[in-house]
Amino acid sequence: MSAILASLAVLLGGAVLTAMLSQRPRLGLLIAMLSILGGSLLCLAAALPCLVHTSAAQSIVLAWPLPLGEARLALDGLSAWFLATIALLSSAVAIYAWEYLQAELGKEPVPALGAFLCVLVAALILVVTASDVALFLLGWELMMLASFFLVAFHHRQPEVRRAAWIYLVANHLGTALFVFPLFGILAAKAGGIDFQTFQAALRNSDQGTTTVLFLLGLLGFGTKAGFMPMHIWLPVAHPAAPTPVSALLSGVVIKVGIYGLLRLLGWLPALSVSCALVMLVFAMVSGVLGVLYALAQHDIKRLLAYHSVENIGIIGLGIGMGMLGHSLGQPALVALGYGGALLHVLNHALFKGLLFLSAGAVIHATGTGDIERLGGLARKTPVNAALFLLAAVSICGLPPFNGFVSEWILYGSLFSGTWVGSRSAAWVAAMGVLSLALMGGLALACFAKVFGVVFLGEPRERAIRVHPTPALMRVGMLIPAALCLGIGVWPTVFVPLTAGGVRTVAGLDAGEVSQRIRSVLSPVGHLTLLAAVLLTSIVALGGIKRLLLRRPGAALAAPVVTWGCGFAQPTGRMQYTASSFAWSLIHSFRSVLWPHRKIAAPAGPFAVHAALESHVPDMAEHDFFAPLLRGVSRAFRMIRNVSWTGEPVLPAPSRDDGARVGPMRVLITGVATALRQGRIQLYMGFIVLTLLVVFFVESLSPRESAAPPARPAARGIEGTSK
Amino acid sequence: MNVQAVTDSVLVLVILLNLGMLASSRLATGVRLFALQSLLLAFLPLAEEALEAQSPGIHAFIIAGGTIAMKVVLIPYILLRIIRTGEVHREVEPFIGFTASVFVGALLVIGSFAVAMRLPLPAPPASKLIVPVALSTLLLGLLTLVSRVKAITQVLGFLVLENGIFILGLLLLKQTPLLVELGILLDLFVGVFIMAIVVYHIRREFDHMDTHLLDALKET
Repeated sequence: MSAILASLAVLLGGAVLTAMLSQRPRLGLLIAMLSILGGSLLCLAAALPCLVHTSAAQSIVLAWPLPLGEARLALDGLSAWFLATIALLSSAVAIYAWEYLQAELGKEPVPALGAFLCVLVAALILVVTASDVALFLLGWELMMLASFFLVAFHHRQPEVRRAAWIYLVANHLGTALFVFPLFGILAAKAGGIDFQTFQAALRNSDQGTTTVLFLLGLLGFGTKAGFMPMHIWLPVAHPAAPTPVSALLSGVVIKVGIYGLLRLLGWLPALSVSCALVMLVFAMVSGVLGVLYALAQHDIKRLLAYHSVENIGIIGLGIGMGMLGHSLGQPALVALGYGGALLHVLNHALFKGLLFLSAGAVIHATGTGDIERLGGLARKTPVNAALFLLAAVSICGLPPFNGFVSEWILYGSLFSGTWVGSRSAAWVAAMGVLSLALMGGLALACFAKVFGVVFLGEPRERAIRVHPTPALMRVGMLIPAALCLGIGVWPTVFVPLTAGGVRTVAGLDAGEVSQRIRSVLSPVGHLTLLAAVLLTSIVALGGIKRLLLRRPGAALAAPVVTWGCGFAQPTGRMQYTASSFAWSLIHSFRSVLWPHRKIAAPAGPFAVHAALESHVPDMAEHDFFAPLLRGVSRAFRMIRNVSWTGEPVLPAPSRDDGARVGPMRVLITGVATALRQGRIQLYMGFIVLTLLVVFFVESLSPRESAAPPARPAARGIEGTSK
Repeated sequence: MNVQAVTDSVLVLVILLNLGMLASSRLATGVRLFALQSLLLAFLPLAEEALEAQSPGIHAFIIAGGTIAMKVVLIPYILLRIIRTGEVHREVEPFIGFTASVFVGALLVIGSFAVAMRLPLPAPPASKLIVPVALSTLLLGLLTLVSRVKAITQVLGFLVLENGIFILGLLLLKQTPLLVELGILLDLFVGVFIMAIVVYHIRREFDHMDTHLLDALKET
């Protein structure tokens, strides 16, 4: 525990120091990155013993009087797992960012970025180790604000500012509408804000309460995690943020939403089966739609952001199966579901972090993230291409990498879910198997597209100059790459570490969890071996080919352009583009995706002009949130347009379509005119009136005993005086 | 005439002065009434200790002295000076008329008596009247703030409100730390000082002391 406190101190100290060194940005950045590295290592030192020994929760109470009581920190299996995830990825990002941000020195406020990165990592650590509501929400808000400032780093570009606002508003709406009520209900039930008391307090609560709590948690934490209808901030914020930030956002910040959900599930008693089914349906929708939208993207970071939605869906499948097992009393399902979900949390942090870092290296090398303009990068930046390929294979769930292991466990849980007795559960689990398979296949197609178009082939635009990837960036990327391979090759070493987390969530004995998972994992060893043999033989074949070609006297064919399609004088622009590569798949899913496509087909024998434009608008954004928010903003504008004299000050923004003045509008304008006189005295009057009502209600309400409630009344009076 | 009776009559006088302030249209009268009210209140800490059959300590004397120096002498002096130089003597066209505001004020006094009976308190008050008087002073101060237009009357409302807090403080904090009391007095002084400057500038800018025009900056 003291290691965690030390790491928080290091990070906050680093943040303050960096912020003070704004005159010397290089030094400031160095200090920020070193403190992130140090803080991460300290966290890892705290988390690893807890994971290995699956010991009981350690906790510490700081005599630091927060407004709502002391600060309590605790470290159990679940916290330690997320802590390790955060530490691993942020140390890699710190090493990478030092080199990556050199280019921004002098142009943008780099020390501020460094300071906010420190604050973000500290807030993440605080959130996963906090053990009371006040500290958790403090960390949660701190995380949100820090990442808002990080997303807004290139704040001179209007679309970046827009992305940052969307991020802030979406997350605050999720927090205010769902997370606050959730904790309010929990605190009311438990009569306190200590996390340790929640489980006992909820033990005897009825089905309805637990369902409401679960739904609040799903919507609130799901907004952070990016489940499908609430995901709209993800594809906007990730491309806008600088690369180290998007790696952290996608790798760990959205995982904190999953952490919150799992923490909540740990408190709740066994939920009804329908809750688990809701979770599974949410997860399937996120997964399949996420990967489909990803397939249609042209911007590499936006594409990766949609893949985050997909992977959150995969994690959600695991959580749903765990819940199902919990409510049906099937320990095998619980172990496999939650275990697979936890493992996928770490795996996704590793390979998605690596993918973002690698995409960042592409942007660093070429200055653009537009897939349609890139090509042939494998020859210029071979290491980066290899790392991207490794991460892509991992995310597609192929052996011998880590994605395969977690998806294998999830398949195991889904297949065992198909014969657990409950008929509807079996149906949904079978659907889950299908959708997981669909996700895997589509992800493969998607990454074939990205890798093929960006790294293979020929450069599309000669104007793009390619810089090599700096060494430290490569070192930063090698850390997650090594872990991806390590988890894939030795799953039996890493997988049992999730047992502590599963025990926290579902109360299952740690030994049983690892035994169940091991039984599912036994074929994995053979498959991994097979894949390893396959890979080595591919590498060996490549080596042999190169050797043979290098032999003196070998007749070399003239080099031609890849995918030249038999043209006599092919150019880079004749290659398959990303859109055309993905179009056949998108077209077959057109009933789900509603793609827009504009074709100006070439006409006549000597066609001069031809153009093709395709994009796929996000359904949740365009068909759900946009109309909703437009209505809200229209209502606000109606209130704003009424002046204190009763006449509209601003001409209502050109609604010349003969807008009908309905009774609702008349009512709203009337009330608004009455309320908004613009007089200071009137506003003071409102405040006085409110205070009076509160005061009279508080003092006149019947009380059980006279002595204890004296304090709130006294506080009320002081409040009036302020 | 024992101490109890004197205290009670002082408290009753405080309420009457409040209502008088609500009823007066002359600004200078209002300020003088406020000074008188503060003078009466300044003796309350002494009476409080006398009620508990102790001889008044140095603490009570300092508070009383500070209150007299600040609220009876200095602040009324500043306000009267503004009124003189600003050549504005009357409150015209308040939002709530004088008769009406006295009526509303009387209702508020009744309300605070009704509430005070039922208000749970940490310790029994020295006099039964303290809590209702404190509450009604508070509420009448707020009423002045809300219903009047001239900047001076706003300041006056704020000061009356502060007097209400002062009475409540006597009750709730038996031994108010001296530092806190003095801090409040200093706050008050600085507040009035700044408001005086603001009022002066309002007058220079608009040639009157109405707060009417202050809503011109309202967001549209």
